[in-house]
Amino acid sequence: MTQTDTAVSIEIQNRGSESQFRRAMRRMIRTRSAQVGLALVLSFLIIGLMAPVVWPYNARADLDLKARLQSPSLEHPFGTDDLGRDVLRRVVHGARVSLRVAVLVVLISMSFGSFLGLVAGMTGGFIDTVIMRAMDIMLSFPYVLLAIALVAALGPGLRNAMIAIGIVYIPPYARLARSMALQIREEDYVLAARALGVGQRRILFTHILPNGLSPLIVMGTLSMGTAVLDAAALGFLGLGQQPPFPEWGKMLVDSMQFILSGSWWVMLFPGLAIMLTVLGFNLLGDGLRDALDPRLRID
Amino acid sequence: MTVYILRRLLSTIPVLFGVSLLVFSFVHLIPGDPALAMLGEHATEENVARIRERLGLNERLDVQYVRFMVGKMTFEKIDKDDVYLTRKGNPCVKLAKLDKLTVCQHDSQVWTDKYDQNSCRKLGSVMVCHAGGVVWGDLGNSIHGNIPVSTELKRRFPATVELAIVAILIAILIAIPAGIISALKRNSLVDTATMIGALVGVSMPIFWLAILLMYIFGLLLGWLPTSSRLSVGVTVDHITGMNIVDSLLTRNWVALKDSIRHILLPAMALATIPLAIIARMMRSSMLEVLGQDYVRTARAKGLSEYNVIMRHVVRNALLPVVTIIGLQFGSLMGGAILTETVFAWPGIGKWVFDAISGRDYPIVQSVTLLIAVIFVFVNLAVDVSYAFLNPRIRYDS
Repeated sequence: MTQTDTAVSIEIQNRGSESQFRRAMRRMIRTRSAQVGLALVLSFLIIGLMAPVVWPYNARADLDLKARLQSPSLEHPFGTDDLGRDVLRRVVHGARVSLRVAVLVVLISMSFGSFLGLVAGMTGGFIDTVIMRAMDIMLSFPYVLLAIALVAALGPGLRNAMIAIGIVYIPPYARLARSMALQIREEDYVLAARALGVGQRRILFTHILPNGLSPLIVMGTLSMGTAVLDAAALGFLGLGQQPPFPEWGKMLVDSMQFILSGSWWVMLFPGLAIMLTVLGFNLLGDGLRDALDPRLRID
Repeated sequence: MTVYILRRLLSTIPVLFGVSLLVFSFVHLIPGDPALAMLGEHATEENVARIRERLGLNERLDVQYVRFMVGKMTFEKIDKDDVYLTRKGNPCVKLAKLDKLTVCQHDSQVWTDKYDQNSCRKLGSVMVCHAGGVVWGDLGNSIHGNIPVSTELKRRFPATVELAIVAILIAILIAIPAGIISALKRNSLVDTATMIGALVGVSMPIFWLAILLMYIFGLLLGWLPTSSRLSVGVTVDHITGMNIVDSLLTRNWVALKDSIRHILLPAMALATIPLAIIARMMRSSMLEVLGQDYVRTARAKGLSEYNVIMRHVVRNALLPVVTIIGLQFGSLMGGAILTETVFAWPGIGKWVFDAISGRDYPIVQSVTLLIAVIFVFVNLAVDVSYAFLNPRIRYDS
């Protein structure tokens, strides 16, 4: 009987949270800024997914030394770079790198961070202290610097860049997850479940995780934006995606030497692409935060 | 308050220990032989062995860490007391002979007779000498050129600090009024424009903005110089190493104007993110305070709107903003790597970038450590100033 009661209560709770989630999504879609954010993110996602099918990238075939540094035209809407490569094509394919970084970095940092934070919050004591002090130490470095130092040691390349950014992003998730665990642990329904003899793991997965999910989602969306920025920064420093495959940050650093000759298009479009992608994630994240957790709303 | 500061100071010790461990371990994250990685594939075996020896890579890890922190220490009892002339011709009392070096004392200063990494201090009748060790401020030598990292750091650090200070001043001067006006004229055109500007500001890659500024103001309009700290031919006497301060101190107006013209573009680029964050924070903090009871009371007792805003709202709203400003100042040091690279600003950021390209890890390690330590102390200062400004924090703790 106890078990059925718990099952029923979980069922009711699930139903409740689902409709709450739907309501939140509807609230979000109604705001203008979230619409813009969603549209930006979706368009970059579609571009990134379609690019290899519709307009495959071939580093060798793309070279056209006769068409070096041409200004935007009908044939090359974004112009060409110093090797005669079409800037539009490179920007489009660069979207794939940036989106991959955004997704994987957040996956790495969110899973490790939430795990560490939940463990710290649920167990407390010595383990809690060790985990959280380690997080404090990582937070005593400026993000970009720590990521740069890590990639400099691990060796340049997109994979290492993603690992480095992923590691650097762990502490905020751990802190968030820990505070969630501490807060939710004391809620009546968790105490009730515990009194009914429900195990730690089950409490974690049926109560704490679902109830703490919305701030994690918000943070995840917002950090996708910063991940794109940081990956571009590493690319700019020559530590990210290696040539010839296009990456926005690397395109920008390469463009610098041609600015003197007035070839503005080589640097304008990759930068715009980064900005719009990050803006998209930021708007979407803000919208999600307002919809999912009105307490966190700025005004 | 004193208890709070002391406790906060003590809490930085484990953090600093962890930071040093993390920075120390960077070299060991390098796949394969770090010495080979630093010298490149074509290095001779002798050179690799020499670098391994110099960096102490043949020792046990714990020995390496201790050496990284306190250096190679030697202790010797002082028993000789004869007068001695150093290579530079300074007379000194010979104190000890260590590793073929004669340690001297003259005018209560203790040093060795040869330019070396060793430096000594007298503790009673024991002479303690160390070679290397970051706690003594000895950050080792660079791989390429074998130059003491601390010497180069002293030359470059003021340039970065100057850039960061100007950037944070630009950010504060624009962001705080913008945030105040935005909050007071909520949902107006000014508010919307400020908030969109702030959102674009945090979404923009700082190095792209730097390139844009360089292109527009440097090349298209030709208003401002786009690289280095001073024009060719302009000099300034070094006092603090910060050109603006030094030219002010020496009343060198030509250099002052030139320094300001050179710093404007990089500082504007570096200021963007803190500007956006501070403006958003100021606005939301103002809105929160505007809804407080004491503001209503102030209005009800007939204070002029100006007094209500300046005395009651802005002062209280600034509290959380102070924290943000402090934290932003710390992260500016990290952002400097990108800005300095674009504008060829000869600070530590550009230096790290060059060191990464040249795989000169001792430099990367030292600068990372220095910035992290500064960051820890900035955070400490922020916390303490916050407790000072906000009595509630103080009494809670």
